[in-house]
Amino acid sequence: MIIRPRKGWQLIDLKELNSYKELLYFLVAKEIKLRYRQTVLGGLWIVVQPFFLMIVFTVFMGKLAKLPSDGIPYPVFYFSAMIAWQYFAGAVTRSGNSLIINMKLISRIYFPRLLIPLTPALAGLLDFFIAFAVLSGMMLYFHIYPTVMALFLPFGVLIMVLAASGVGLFLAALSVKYRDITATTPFLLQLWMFASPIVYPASMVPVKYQLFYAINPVTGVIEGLRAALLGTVPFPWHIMLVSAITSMILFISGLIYFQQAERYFADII
Amino acid sequence: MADPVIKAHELSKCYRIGLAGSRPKTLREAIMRGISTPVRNLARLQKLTRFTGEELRGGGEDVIWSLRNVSFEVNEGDVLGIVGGNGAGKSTLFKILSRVTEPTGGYAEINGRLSCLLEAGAGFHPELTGRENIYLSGAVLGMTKHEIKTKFDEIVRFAEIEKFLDTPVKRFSSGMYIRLAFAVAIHLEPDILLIDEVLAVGDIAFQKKCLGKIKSFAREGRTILFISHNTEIIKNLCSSAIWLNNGRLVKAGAVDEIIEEYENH
Repeated sequence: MIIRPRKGWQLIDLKELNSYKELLYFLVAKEIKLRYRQTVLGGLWIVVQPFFLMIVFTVFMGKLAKLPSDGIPYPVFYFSAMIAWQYFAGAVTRSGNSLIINMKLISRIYFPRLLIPLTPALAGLLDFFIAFAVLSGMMLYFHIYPTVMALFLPFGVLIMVLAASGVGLFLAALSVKYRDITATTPFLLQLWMFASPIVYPASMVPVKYQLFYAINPVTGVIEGLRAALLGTVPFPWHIMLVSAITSMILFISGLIYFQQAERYFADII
Repeated sequence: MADPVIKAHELSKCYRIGLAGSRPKTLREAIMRGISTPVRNLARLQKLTRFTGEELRGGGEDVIWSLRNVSFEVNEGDVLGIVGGNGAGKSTLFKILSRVTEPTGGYAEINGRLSCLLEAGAGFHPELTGRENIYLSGAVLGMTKHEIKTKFDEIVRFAEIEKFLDTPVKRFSSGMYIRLAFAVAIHLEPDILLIDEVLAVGDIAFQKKCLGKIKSFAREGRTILFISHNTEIIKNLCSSAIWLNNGRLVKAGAVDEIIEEYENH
């Protein structure tokens, strides 16, 4: 093996990544174990937050502000969006902070740095699936049954993971040089939440702006999830397609940027 | 003669120091500076990773060469000691050889699996238990799950922490912590091992144990690069040595000769 200064664009060394997949497994396991260690509620934390947000939204956005919910009971309407949003916001935040948190590791030991921001994006899926099971229980309670389009849910999950990892990669790589990122992320996510159909249905957005609205990949994820599971609207193919494209662009450009920035991580972090 | 396992050719590494600007002299100047702070900050942060051609050729006020044109070769089975004062570039050299950071100039050729112990316990997480940390830090250092499993008992015995395997390492005494960290690292089986000063830990009995392990490592024909300020250990352990000073290679050769010159310079 030859070690020399790298110049220009770098391809991702897939063979090397493959040889480190056990490390990825250990890192994901660590992330999951650590999240709720030395807590009283433990794994319950996964549902506590979306559950109380759901209640707050139901009372204020639904009962008081009377926002429409495409004919679905408010609790299910909000909870279905919350589980996807919690994953997205959590993965972006933790991914974005991951390099700074692992500063010591990065400046002492070599391994593909890509594993660090990808870890929270993968570990977050466990929380997502647990919250998803709770959603299924709520649907049973309200007698709502999924449509056949639920077969496309894995596709929606993929869009969600790619979009969150892509944004996470950008933020993580930027945070090494610019610590502003730590302060920016919560703010960015707050704006992002209102730009996504969480407390309101996407059908509130005028039809002529819908495709523009779908550039936000979270729109595609949540609308797809609601349409497939709750049958709110006919399956929104056009929105899903646009969101899929933006999530791919986010992920690939995130990878490229990360790859470029990676060479100086250990020097300036 | 076989190819060297490590061949370093004119390795150089340049870092930016980050000089502070001059202080404002008048109130007006201070206010103007306050307003333009974000712009100046951005320029300063961008400069962190960009070097001008001038700086790369001749150096400048704001840069430091941690390594400058260092060339040497290490053959299979060599135990090479690296000596030099603080800031000589010893750790930078290890960081480049282990790929933590890339050189600014020059290249190094490595033949074989290389592991680097820059600091014991760098791969540990304080909240995880001893058992969990053995697996995690083993994987971080490049061991497979299978390798760790087969060596698990040996690692625990070496570290003498049998009773505390399921205690989070944040509650370990510092001695226990270091012993476990070193035990994991020393049970790696790379072809080339870089060790940086990690022996300066633990009590005397443990230090002796570590030294013994490193010696048996060398007897197996593995290549070791060893940084230490303790010239006695270097003389005891190494066959050859290199001496670095301010980023430059002063001399390379047989260990006794190098150590004598280093101690008397």
